[in-house]
Amino acid sequence: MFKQDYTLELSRGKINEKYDSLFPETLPNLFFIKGTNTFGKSKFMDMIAAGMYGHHRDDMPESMKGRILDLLDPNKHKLTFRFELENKSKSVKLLIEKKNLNSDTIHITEIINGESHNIGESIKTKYGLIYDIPHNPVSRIMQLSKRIEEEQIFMNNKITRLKGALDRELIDISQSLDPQVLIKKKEAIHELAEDLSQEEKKKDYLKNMVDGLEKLICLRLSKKYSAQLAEKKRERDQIAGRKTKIISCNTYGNKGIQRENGFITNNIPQLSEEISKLHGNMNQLFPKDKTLDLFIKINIYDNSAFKLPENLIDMINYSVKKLESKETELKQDTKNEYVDMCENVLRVLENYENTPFELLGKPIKEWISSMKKIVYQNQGLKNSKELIKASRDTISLINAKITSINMSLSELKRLKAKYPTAGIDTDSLMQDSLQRQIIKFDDDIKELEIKVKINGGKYETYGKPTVENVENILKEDYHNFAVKTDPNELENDLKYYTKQVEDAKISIVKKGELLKYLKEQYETMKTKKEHPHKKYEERISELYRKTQDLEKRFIGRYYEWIKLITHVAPKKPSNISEKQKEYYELMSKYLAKVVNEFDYPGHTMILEKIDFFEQKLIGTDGKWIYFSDAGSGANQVAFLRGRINTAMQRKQKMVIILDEVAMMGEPILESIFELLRDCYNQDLLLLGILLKPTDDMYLYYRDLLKKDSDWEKVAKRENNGETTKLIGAK
Amino acid sequence: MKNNEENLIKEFFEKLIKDKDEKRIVSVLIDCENDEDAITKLLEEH
Repeated sequence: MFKQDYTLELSRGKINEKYDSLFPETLPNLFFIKGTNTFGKSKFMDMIAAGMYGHHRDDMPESMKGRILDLLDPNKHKLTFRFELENKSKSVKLLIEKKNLNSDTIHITEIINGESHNIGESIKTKYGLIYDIPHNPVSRIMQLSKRIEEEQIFMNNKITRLKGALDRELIDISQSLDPQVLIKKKEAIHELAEDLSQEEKKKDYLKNMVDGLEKLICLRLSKKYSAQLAEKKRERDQIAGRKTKIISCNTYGNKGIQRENGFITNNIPQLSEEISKLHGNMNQLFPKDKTLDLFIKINIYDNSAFKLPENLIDMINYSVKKLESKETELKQDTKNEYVDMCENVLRVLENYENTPFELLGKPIKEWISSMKKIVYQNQGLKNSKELIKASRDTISLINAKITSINMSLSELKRLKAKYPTAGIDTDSLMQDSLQRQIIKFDDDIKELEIKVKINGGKYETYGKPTVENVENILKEDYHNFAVKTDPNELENDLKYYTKQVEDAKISIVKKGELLKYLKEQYETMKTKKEHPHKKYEERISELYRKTQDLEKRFIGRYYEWIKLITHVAPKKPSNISEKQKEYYELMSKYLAKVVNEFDYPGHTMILEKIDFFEQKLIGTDGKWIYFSDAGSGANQVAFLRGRINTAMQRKQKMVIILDEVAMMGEPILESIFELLRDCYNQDLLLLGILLKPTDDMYLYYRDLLKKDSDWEKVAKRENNGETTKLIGAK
Repeated sequence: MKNNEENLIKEFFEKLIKDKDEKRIVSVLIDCENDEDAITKLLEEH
């Protein structure tokens, strides 16, 4: 029978977490617990082990002792417990109590056959305790190698921190009083001030160069623009002259020509009309074919008084053409020769009116008579004389018009000779043409004015430069530039020196700031005391460098190398350096030393080294075992069985707690159960507990004294993290 | 870490590092809790 009760407060910053037992108050002597890690199973086991003075037992693994001592530390945990342990025959009962929250004192009362004795620490010799995690040595090795990794990181952090501290120390020393440094700083300040002064002089010299070059360029440009200005002025004057001419031409020439031309153009159609009218009259008086026959018959061609053209109609047509070519022949026909001809023909015909001559088989008289009749009928004229008179009037009119036109033609010719470029144009066309020229002229002027203004602007800024003042500014350097007459060439020099000035300015600012900083440092240092570690400055610098080297190694290669080992299936690198080989050798030996020994049936192997790449545990006797064989459950149970059997042979009543047995398979566990039952039946087992973790939300226990017993749910972890007891604990 | 393991890892680091000063730095860092003590210890021996 096992009776239990406990309260535990875990310090979690400002708030403590409180726990009490989740299990039934009375439990069998042998049972199995399973559940997730947060139900406090291991803490419960540690309490029982503490009650058995596990932390003072030599055969207790160090890790277990550490855990028990930690649990009993009142600064970390506020713990009370009370356990009652009784063997099968009830001949022996142990009452174990921790009553005081603030003390690690444990009271142990042994009750044998009704007699009580306070046995205290002697419990550890009178009663056995096997409290172990039947761990897999391989997983232990993996844990240890992980621990090396953590230790390396931890060490690296320490190194980094130390490096920082050394660095701060060096800064403090550098800022503390150092008479020699003070002198050096003073010298440096002096040198820098001198340097700065030189730099200022250089800058002034360069600025002077820039000033001189700008004026020289201005001078060169002035010359260039003056020439251009003169040229432009000349062009402008030319354009102005042309403009006046064009205005005159447009005002007088164009208008006069237009006027004369208009007069001629308007009168020509009237003239043509009059001629056409004359032509009609003549046509009526002398129909072409008949008149021609008549002339042939009367043989008037031979008349020497005048000479007729081939026929009158052609003559009239000829006259019209003459009129149309108004500027040439018409004005030469001053005698109206052709008109007179027409009149004469009529007079001739009348002379033959009373003759016996026949015309076209009919007497002329009769022909004239019938012709007159036609004239009367068609023209409404009384006789051909009236028609002739009308024709003469028309001819006079024609003559008058020809005279006017001739005069107009003369005026036209005069105007054209005076204004050869003038022509017949409208006013708007003339204006447009003129305006275009004026716009072009204005553009030229504007362009010229801008150039002049630009140069004028420079004059305003720098004052009108002269060769003398440029020479004065540039002094001995003047001759280097005087040979360059092209302003563009000088512009390149100007750019170069301008850049030099800018560079000098920046340099002056930087040096000025540095000088200010040095002066401040100097002044500050003067007020300080000498640093106590001043004399170690060199040593601290050296240590600082060493920490840098160490840091590189710990965070670099050592980190990479250990990572390789902690890999699930590490492979030996194909190119392994001597240092890396050495590292693995050391680690292998270190791990072997920590694990120290490995038990397997009938033998304990003292480990010499552990080969990760070969996956071997190697003993000092040269024997070795593969990781895979070392981790088997059979080996572990054999070891445990050995320990329990030994205790049983000594007939020692005992408490056996086996934590983390999850790695053991069912057949192996069954064999352990049997062994423990056997121990119980021999009245030697005061308490036997086995534990294994699960991912379940429940905490279970199982009575191992009853065969085929089931797991019972003891508590449940709710979704909100709270724990609910499922069986009355007290 | 238990004392034994602590000593062993110290030994491991000391064997890993050959340079005398570096060895000393690591050793002092294992022993000292704060940097001031570590620096003092490192300088004392100089």
